[in-house]
Amino acid sequence: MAAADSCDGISTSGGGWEKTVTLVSSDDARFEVREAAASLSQTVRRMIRAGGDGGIPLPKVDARTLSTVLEYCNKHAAVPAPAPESSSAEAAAVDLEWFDKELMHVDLATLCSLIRAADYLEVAGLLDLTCKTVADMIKSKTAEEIRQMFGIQNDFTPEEEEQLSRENAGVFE
Amino acid sequence: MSDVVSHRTQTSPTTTAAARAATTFGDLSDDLHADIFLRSPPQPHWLLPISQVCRRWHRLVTSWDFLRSFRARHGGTPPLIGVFHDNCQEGLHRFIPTAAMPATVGAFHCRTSWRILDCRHGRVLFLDAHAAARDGWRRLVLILWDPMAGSCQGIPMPPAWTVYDNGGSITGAMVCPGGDCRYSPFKVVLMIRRAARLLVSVYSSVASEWSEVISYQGLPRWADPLMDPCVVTGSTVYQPLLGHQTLSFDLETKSFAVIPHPPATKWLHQHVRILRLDGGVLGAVAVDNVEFSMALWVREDAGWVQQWTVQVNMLGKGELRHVKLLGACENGNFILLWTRLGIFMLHLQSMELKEMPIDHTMTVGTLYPYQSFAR
Repeated sequence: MAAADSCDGISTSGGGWEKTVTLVSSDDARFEVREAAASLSQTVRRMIRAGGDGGIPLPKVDARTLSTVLEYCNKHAAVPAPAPESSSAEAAAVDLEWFDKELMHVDLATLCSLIRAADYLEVAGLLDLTCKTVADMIKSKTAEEIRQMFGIQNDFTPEEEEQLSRENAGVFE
Repeated sequence: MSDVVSHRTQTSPTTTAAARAATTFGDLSDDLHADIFLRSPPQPHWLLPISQVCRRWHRLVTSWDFLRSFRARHGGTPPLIGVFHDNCQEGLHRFIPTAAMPATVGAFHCRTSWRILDCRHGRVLFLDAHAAARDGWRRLVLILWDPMAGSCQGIPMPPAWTVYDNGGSITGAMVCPGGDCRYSPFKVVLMIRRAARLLVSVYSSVASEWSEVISYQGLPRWADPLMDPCVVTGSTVYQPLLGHQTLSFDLETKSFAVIPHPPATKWLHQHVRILRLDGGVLGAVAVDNVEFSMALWVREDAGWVQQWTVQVNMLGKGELRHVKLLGACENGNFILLWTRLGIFMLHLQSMELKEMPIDHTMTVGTLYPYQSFAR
């Protein structure tokens, strides 16, 4: 299908009618998404308000990254659910947590792309999730292990290194 | 997920090289780096390796903006790293870590001759009777130690004070009107009683010098300053005195006042410690070791107001019976209690009692909690 306007698509989900929008990645891939899900991105939400034809262009996000972002948004956007059963809210929270965990099983480059995209698209929950994931990767590692993991060059001069190790000794001697 | 709801409607035949180029960690902006580092746990040993990875990371996590955000993110309450104790016996570590520390952590080392005066905002103030090599005379010197920055600064005593009996009756406090001595000018307040007068001298880090000695005549008889830790709220120093009372000294107005402790706590079997409660309020905790009860008082304009009283056996750790007040944290409304079952940290709001990894058979008069962020 071809959504001519960014805001007028209609599709069905769970038997109800929902508005959809079309997002266009930097490499011209088009994604049709529920508006409720797309609106988790503050950037997209503003663009929907501004209106426009031919889909919402997102020139800073490639298709592969955008599809992961949208996977997150679809899962996290409030889905009009049937009457909640007892403990269903708790189950949903566990399910979301599990989903987030699975989503973060990606390589570092992908994670970095996601952080950038979440920042650009202003998806606060995803930015928090991705940053937390990287912070957890750094945790419990020495400076050298962190350098190896991220491919970072040690650019301290020997004098600076000595100074740093002195600082460290001062704390944890 | 319905495939209609989110699907790719058109696959781009030629994905541009730019779009495919993998984002490396270094490509992320400084702000995003900071966003990640902000999510480290508050204990200093987590940020340290980050600061040692490369120059950029070092610059980011040691910047004032970052540190301010980091503190705010962790509720502004610095984590408890450990406690200093006032027992100067040879062979005892003066610092007992209470938080998980990396394997490289042993203990903060300081000489047994150092007497602890105050511990605040990540720094510790010691008084040392230092024997000069030149003539062998012992001279007093103050040592301001920032263990996290690894810096140790000697502050000479006020000129007329170096002769006072090894400093045994000098008390002192660090005050930082800017809120945090690490990033704002600080003052050191020293007090000593001489006959009927209380002498006070104030050191300013800006001027690097001591004020004229301020003399206060209104100290009640026998009300000598106690070696107990001071409390500081704003620009006021609260110095516990002998005889169930506390002296307040305002650094700005240079005014003094003697505050009697709550009347209900004046019996000899009661033990009172003043403390700073969150929000900068003066509080007093009293234990009654006849009734085995504990009470919290808050100082308001009208006087002391009791917040609660509790039987220590009702705190959920069994028959604690006799307890001693070892110290109070400056942030977070925690006090440290000695009991026959161990040393505990009590949160004064939730009343949660948490056992501390401190040997309770050690004879300790006072513990000085060391709370600090990395810097």
